[in-house]
Amino acid sequence: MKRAFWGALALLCGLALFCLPAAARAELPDVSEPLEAFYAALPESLRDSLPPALLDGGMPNADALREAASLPALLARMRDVLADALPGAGRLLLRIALCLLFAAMLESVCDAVSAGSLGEMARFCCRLCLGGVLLEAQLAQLNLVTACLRQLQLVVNAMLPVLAAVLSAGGSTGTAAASCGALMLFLNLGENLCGSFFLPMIASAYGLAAAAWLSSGGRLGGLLRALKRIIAWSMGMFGTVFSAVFAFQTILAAGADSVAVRGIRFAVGSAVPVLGNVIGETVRTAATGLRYLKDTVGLMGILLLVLLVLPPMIGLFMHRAVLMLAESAAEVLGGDGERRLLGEFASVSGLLFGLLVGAVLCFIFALVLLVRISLGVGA
Amino acid sequence: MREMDSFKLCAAAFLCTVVIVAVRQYRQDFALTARMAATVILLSFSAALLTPTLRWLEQIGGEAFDSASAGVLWRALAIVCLVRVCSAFCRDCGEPGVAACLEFAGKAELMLLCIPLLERLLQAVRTLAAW
Repeated sequence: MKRAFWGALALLCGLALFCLPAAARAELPDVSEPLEAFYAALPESLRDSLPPALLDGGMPNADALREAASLPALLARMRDVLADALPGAGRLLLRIALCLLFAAMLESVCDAVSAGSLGEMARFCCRLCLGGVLLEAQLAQLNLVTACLRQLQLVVNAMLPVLAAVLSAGGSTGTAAASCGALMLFLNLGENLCGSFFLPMIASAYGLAAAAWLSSGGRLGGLLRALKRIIAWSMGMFGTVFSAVFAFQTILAAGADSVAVRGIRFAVGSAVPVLGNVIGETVRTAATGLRYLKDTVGLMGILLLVLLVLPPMIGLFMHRAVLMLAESAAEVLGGDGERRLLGEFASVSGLLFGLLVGAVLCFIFALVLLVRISLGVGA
Repeated sequence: MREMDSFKLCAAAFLCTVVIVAVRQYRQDFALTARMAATVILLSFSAALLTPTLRWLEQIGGEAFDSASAGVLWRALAIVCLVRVCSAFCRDCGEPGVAACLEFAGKAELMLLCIPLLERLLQAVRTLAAW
């Protein structure tokens, strides 16, 4: 009787094993909500220039991303931006050239009539006119860079939850905490530094250059050079420190996550009979999908940052080119003071360009690092 | 400047000088009037030569050069030329005091012209300082 009972029980268990299959599925985490929020944080002009299918059902579309990141698409975008920036640059160059031409004409007339101190006053009038034109142009550039840095901060802020979600789903909780924490710290620090230090220092450099030229004394040249060196050194220092700290924290955290998750996988595989290996294979399958998602989100972030900063970068580049051309024109027309002023303004505009490029490169470096590191699950 | 205009200008200047020398020889009291007339004629000739240049600059400037700045610079140029020529005339007539006062008045007028440009510059500097 007992034997029959145990035999029937064993048969029942065997039948149950065949009738109740357990399926293991690997599903990607749902990051559609943070992605939609990130997409909404982008400026409208940038969103309009992207392919509509970039976010397909709230998830990044790899084909649309490949199309948007292709060389023809990027060159077309650069061409459009250049076409928008050229008329403004041309008008500025014409205004400066007319001021220089007038100054040269006045110089020759004053020499012809031996105007003396009367000629000095008239030349001062010319200098005021040129100084006004140039300072107004520099103010426009400062406004452009300030607006761009603000937009950059908003976009990166919106990107952080997406990155954190993808990294955490892949078992890289340490990496998510370390990298997103470092990025957030850099964002706050960068915002304060740009607003309270870099931009006011660059504005002071413009003012100092104009004052040095108007006074014609040449005593402020040393102060201006020192100021430019301080700005350049500070920017380089900040970029280097951020890159180093971010790289160390992210790589170390990624290594720790990888060790932790592999340890757990080994323990599960050894301790759970039969199903232990199935669980391990399922996790590996999920990891491939997660890596694909991480890379796509990271690359989309890099592309969007580049497209966001392209118009102000090209605008600044054109502006600097105009100042350098005008400097050559001043040399040809024999205006030494005008040549020095235009040279100084071109040099300070270079610092402004460096500030913008440095900020976006730091963010791109962070995203590239996050794309390159492996997830904790081993993908 | 066309070549014929240069010839005309040189011929006019030569003629004026000859007339003034002749008048000074025969009627000393009319010499000043003759000198004044010669100065006005030559100055008008020069202004007529400059007019196409000014019109050309205005044309190529167009919207790029705002009319306020352009107006100030043209007036500055005109003041320098006029005041300098008149003060030289006064000195030639033996009145350096009058010439000095005229030049001082010219500088004061130029300073008045600078005021709108200075205001524009100061506004830009104030905006930079508030950054």
